[in-house]
Amino acid sequence: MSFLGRSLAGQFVTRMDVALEARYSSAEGDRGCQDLHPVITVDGLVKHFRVHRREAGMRAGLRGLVHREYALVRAVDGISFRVAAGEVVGFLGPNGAGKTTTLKCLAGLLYPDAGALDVAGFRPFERDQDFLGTITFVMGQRNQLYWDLPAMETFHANREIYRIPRSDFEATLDVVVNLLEIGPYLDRPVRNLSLGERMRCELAAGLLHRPRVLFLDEPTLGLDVTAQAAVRRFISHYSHDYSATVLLTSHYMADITALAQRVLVIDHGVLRHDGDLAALVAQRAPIRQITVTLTGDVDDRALARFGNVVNRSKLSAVIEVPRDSISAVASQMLTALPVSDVSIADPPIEEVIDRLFTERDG
Amino acid sequence: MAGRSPSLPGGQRLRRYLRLLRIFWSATVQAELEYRLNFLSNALLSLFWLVWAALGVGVYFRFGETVNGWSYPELLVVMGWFFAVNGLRQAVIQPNLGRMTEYVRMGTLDFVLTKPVNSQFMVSFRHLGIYNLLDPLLGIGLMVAALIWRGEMVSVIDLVGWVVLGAGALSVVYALAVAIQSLALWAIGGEALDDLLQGVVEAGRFPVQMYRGFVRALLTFALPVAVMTTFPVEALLGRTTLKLVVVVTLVAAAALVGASLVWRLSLRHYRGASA
Repeated sequence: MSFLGRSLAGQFVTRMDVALEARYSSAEGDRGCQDLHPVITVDGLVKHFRVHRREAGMRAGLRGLVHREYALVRAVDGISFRVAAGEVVGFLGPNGAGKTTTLKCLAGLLYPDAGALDVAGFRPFERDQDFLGTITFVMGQRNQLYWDLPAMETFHANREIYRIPRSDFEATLDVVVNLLEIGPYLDRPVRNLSLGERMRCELAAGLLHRPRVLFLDEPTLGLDVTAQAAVRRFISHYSHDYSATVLLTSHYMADITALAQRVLVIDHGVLRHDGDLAALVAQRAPIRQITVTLTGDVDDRALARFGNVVNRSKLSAVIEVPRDSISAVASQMLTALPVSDVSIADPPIEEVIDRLFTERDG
Repeated sequence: MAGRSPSLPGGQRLRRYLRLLRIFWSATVQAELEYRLNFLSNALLSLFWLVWAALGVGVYFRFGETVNGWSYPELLVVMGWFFAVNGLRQAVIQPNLGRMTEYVRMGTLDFVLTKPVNSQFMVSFRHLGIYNLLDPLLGIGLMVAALIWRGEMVSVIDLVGWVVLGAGALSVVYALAVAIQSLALWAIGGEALDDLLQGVVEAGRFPVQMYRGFVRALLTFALPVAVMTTFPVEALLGRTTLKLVVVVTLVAAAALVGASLVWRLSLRHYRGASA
């Protein structure tokens, strides 16, 4: 970020804090509550969908015209959590777990079947204009930009839609354009941009009104590594500079590990874990991996004594060892084997998550 | 509720929405500007249809001065007004209505609904069909020509009646469009939503007096065809009553309120492009 950008961002934060303070002190009558007051409160959220069930084929299609069978999909089945101001929370779960449905309920798009929701002091589904001005909802691979026009046109439309004063608009635009490095793309028709370029413009369009609560649904979906990194960097800067609360879903674990201090694991509409990533790994992966580099040939059986050998080459091996006995086992290996190097690590987070979801199925 | 700021006073809100309209429409115009040829060909096509239809109804008058109480020039006034209303429908309503199922299917509606702007306003006025903007002018042109041919003065009161009933007519067409648009929220895939409205409006090509018995009752009471074309034109021809003006105004207001209720109710059932 340029020096100019940084100093402008500093100014915004101050201005925003003043606005927030005014708002909370009028709402709560006590500034002390500001830090304790969660920005997002979800209590027993339930959202069910009735879907038309239909077998394949023409005959089944015709039968469906007369007699429809419905199945009830429990997309979200009673989940509760709280998110404090400035927290970045990652949503994990397989496809159809209920992540997007939860986000949509929080953004006021879906009407919950049961449960109480509070986002920044509003009930989302009432879609109060002040509420909508407080949040943003960015969806990967969906398009809000004018397709045939340069992204700048959409930015101007959003300025009017969100009633952003011109000076604020220009200052925010400056910061956002710098951070996302989209300067060169602003005057090209959106249809001529690559997915990565367009997605960065989408993100900019969604943040010009400086929302305090961000719902990001797969913001890096389909992007190449460079664009993913740019988006990640930007979200991290934004949430830090503006103390914004972020709820993020992603299929890329790198997004979650880079951005979220806390993860919510949701599966079949039920919350299975709520806490930081390290705790998730400790709780769900009761093993760690020891990687040893050997100076001479060692028999497989000699290695198997120490634990479960998951990877073996001539002069190295990866062995899974129960978390509790890791240091004892490591020191035994050092004395018993011709070792030149030892490293201990958690199994990759993908494996932990995968294990979490397969356990349930198994 | 915490933190709710007072909403804008009416005048400011009107100005804000007019500004939004200007921004939406200028974006559409810019996007379409590359296709100038479309504009010209569309104008010629409209003119051709208007002349064709105007001459076509002349056939009815080969055997008499009037048909069901309507003279040739009077019928042309109806046709001109119909053309203007239909053109407005095609310019303002159709481009938005036509996109509604796409909004739902592609999830674009999610963006519309998370904007701090009245969602009904956004879905019904975001796009503009600039090729049809000439049609209302052509229609009004035909009306003026037909009124001159008829040779009777149009009083100021008649003109006021036409303006009030005309506004009522457009309100009813708009309310119908919103109600039909709401259908898209219930059933994804209803591709022919616009055809539904077109069917209703098309029936207004002739005054309701041209239809008989059951059909006339249907067009007058169940479908707002009489409100859309016959009543405003009758006002212009000096044949309306204050009572009718009041009734139509009330009907139009009720239609607008009802459509807005239907829209909001339907949003509750909106379930998004994917769960």
